Amino acid sequence: MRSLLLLGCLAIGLAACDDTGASLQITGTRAHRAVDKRVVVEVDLLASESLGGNIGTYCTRVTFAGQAAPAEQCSADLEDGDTKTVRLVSESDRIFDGAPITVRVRHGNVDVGSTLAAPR
Amino acid sequence: MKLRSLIASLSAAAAVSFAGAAVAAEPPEVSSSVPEPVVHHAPQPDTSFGYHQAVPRPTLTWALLQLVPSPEVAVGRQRHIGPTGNIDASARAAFGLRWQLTPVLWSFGVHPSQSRWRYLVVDPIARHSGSLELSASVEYIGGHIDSVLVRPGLRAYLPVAHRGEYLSVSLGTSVYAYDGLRVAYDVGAYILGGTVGVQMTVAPTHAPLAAIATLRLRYF
Repeated sequence: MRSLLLLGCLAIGLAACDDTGASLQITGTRAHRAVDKRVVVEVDLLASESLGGNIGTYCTRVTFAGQAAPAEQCSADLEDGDTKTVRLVSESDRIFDGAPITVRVRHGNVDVGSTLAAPR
Repeated sequence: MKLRSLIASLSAAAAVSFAGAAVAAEPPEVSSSVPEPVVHHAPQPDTSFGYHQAVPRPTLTWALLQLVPSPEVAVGRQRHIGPTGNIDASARAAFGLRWQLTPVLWSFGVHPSQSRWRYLVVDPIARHSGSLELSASVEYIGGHIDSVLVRPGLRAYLPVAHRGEYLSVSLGTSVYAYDGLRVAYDVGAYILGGTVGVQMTVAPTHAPLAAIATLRLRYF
């Protein structure tokens, strides 16, 4: 039984040292039209890093249907537990209602995303 | 000489007279018809020395008592960067409830004649007189956390006053999953036989749950 107790302690210790990764997830996306008819996309992000540090560089990219180049913003300002709302605006005001908008967030080797429709 | 012979003769006369009286006082012979008294031979008392092993078992009452939660307040910081670059880094507090379980405990404070191991049910004296336990707790924290956390951990209890009945302290560590695996450390102080105490759980590398103060209510 004593060895079982020691084994339990060892397992807890190993589990505590096992995960030191950083991650970034999308918690929400919204789109609306500005006064000048351009489409504004807001992306909510949540950062986590098991040791409490900075998660490093990440890029948020929004691709509008009908626009040649995507809008992109890269930063390295998030630490463990931080949330951020990234706002990206289309270059053109000719994004049709309901046109697909693709949101991608790249952090390290991980690329997460979601899709939404252009608002009226 | 005359005096000595007089004393000797008086002594002899006294001896003869006492002997005669003794012969006269002898009881009459008992008749053989009187029955012998009945004697009951009781068995010898058990002089061997043993101990009752007080190892409590789970009961329904115990299970119901385990449902009583310990209230807690979690304090942490969750920085938010707005779309215009404005930063909100204010600290937040959230209320929570914690339930605890001890799968196994090894007590080094109980009498050597007693078993040192306890499973699930732990008498307060075994825990707070000095022990090492594998602990498990489930807690719900509302507010900005709004999560259920499961914490397996390890904790040591040390007696401070009256073998821990008046005051004992604890040191522990635990792990929990919250956007990855996290490590926390806790210290505690307990009174009233360990039934009431204050526990402070600290997670130095996890800002949203940096500190949790728990009013620990526990019996067995």
